[in-house]
Amino acid sequence: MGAEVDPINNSLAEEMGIAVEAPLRRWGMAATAVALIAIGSMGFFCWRSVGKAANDADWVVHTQEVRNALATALTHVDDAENGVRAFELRGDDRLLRRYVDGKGALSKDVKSLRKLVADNSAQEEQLATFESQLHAKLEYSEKMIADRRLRAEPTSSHAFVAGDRLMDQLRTTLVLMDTAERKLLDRREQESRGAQRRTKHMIIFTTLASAIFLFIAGAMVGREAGRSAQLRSQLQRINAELEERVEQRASALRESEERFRLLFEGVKDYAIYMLDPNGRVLTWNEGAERMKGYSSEEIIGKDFCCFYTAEAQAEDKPRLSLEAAVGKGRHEEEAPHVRKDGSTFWAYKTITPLYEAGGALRGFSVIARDITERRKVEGEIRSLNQELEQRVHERTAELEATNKELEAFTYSVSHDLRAPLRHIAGFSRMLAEDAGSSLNPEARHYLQRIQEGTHRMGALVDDLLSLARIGRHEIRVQVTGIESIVNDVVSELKQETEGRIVEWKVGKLPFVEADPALLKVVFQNLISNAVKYTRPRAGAVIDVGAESISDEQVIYVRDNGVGFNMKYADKLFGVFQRLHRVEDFEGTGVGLATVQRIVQKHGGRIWVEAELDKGATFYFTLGSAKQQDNMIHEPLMAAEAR
Amino acid sequence: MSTRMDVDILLVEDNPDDLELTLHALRREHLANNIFTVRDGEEALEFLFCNGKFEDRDSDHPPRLVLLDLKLPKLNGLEVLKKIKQDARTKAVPVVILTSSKEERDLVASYNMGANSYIQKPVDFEQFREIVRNTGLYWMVINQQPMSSPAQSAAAAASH
Repeated sequence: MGAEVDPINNSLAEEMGIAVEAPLRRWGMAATAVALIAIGSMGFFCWRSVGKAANDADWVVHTQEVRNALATALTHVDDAENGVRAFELRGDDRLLRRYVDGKGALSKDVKSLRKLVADNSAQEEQLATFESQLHAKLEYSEKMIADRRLRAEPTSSHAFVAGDRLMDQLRTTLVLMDTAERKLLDRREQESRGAQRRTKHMIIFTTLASAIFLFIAGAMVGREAGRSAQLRSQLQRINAELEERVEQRASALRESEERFRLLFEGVKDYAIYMLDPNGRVLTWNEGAERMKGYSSEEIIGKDFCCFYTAEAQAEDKPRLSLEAAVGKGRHEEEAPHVRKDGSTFWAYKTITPLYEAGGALRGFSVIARDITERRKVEGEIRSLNQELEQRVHERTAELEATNKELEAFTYSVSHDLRAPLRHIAGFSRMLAEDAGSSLNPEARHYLQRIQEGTHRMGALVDDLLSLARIGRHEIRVQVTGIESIVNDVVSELKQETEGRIVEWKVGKLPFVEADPALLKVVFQNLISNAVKYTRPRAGAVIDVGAESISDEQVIYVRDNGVGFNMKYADKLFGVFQRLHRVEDFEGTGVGLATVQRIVQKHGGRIWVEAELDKGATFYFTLGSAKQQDNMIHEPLMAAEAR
Repeated sequence: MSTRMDVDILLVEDNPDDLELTLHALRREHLANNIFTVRDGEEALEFLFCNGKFEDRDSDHPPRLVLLDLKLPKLNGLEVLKKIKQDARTKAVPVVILTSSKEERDLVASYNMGANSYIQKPVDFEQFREIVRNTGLYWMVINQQPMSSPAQSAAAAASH
């Protein structure tokens, strides 16, 4: 399911894709437009060039015409002149014909020339000059003709001089005009060639440019077409997927509906039914039928009030339940319900409001379960619990009573057991004192043994009581300087060591959190043991110190006494356990048990290392090492202030 | 033993063995000349307040010291102590608790009720004798007490 692409997101992505492609299309259109403009401008330019070339050609023709006209005019001038000259020489009128023809042709020539050079003011001026010169020449020729007719002989040659000058002027003017025309022609031809060259370049350039832009536009359009084809195919695929998924969901929905219907109808232990907003039953399952006794035909359309007891109906419970469901989104209740036959049962009911998509209340779903059995079981459990609690109370009371008894026993041991011991000790002593001298040594020895026995028993009772007291004692922890306790104990024991050589080594000892009274008992036992078991040593060494063993503050009491075999080490801390004979070393076998109990009460532990005839070292810890470390320096002030 | 005599020490002890041993020890120290013994708490109070069978006793002459056992028939030692220390006539009388109990609670209760001393009877008879000697010496010789009883003083103060 995870690989499925959300159709909405997908179409969004496509739109994004199209948006990304839009600039490409714009660039394609721009390239096409540029190519079109280039082609258009090239056409326009060509059209103009062609027009201009035609115009130029017209002009060439026109110039040629002018030049032809000028040549014709020159010929006619010469003809007229030759006619005049021939007439001059011969005087024959027939010869004048060429003159007359030439003259007539010249007036036509001038007319056509005027027409031809109408666009050229310089040439018009020249033409005017030519006309006036022609006019002067013709007048002169007319005069000469008239003169010749009067004479029989030709005139002297000088008469031709003036005529020749006029002729030269005419020719010159014509030649000037021709030259001007030829220059004009040259210029026009040059211009025409330049225009043709430019046109050619222009055509090459615009053709190339339009070809390039058309190529670009073509490429872009091609890409665009490819892209849109891709998008189209993607769109089609997504559409297909979407359709498939819609189909799948629809079928899943159908299946689920089917399953739900089966479930709903098939559930037998739960009554499941629906109500309209007014509380009338809309649907009814088999469980509901079994539970309440109504068939669906009987109940559908009826108000669900009938499931409630008369009292509940009087209190308007059914209505209130529906309102509560609307208010809280869900209503649960545990209440007695009424079956069709009027019998009642306990039901646990959940009412959930159902809403239209628009938010309007559509009705309620109700799921109810018969909990009569459960309530019965619950009741049983409750009564069992009560019974259990009662029993716990009783037991606690019993235990408390036992504790009291034990305390009373301890008290009575403390008081009553010691009393007869005292009496035995007292009277045996008195006997020894009063009648000692009259007793034989054996009897005196027995008295001695009686006294010793009572002593030991007295000590035993005291130790046992002390052990019991520690058991009951709640430790009162405070910052306690070990060093001062050890020094107290050592000075108390000094009387016992009078006459002995004992080297005391009391090292630097820390402050700890402990019950000082109990800690003193620990040192009293350990140090008096050390004193006791070093008795056979000429020079006893008793060493009390502290060391750190794997982050733990360890306190030790070491002696160089008689020690013991380590195989008995585990017996050492048991009550009444002794490793030496009473004759050698007195003791009750309770002291180390007491020490161990105190250490354990502090959360510490105690162990021993010993070697027979070498000595013993007792180690103990008090609680966690970290706590102890923190205690060493900081509480000094408090300790001193005490 | 006449009850009209001035009594130096009132010994309250129910156990005959203890009584004998204590008397022996006191006698040895020559402290038993003016000693009077009672065997239970009730008797002790009757003696001290001069009623019951001690009606004819002169209440102006209370004992100079009471040696009181704690475990007693009828009224126990603590109850007796309480009565002595609550009554103006007797509260100045020194009371030494002489018992075999080493219980902390007995100790605390005794001192709370005004006991002047608390002694645990040791098992060792020699030690016991030593204690008796020291106690007698202290309370009968060293310790200073008013010449007249507080009751007398109170009466004298009122008449002036």
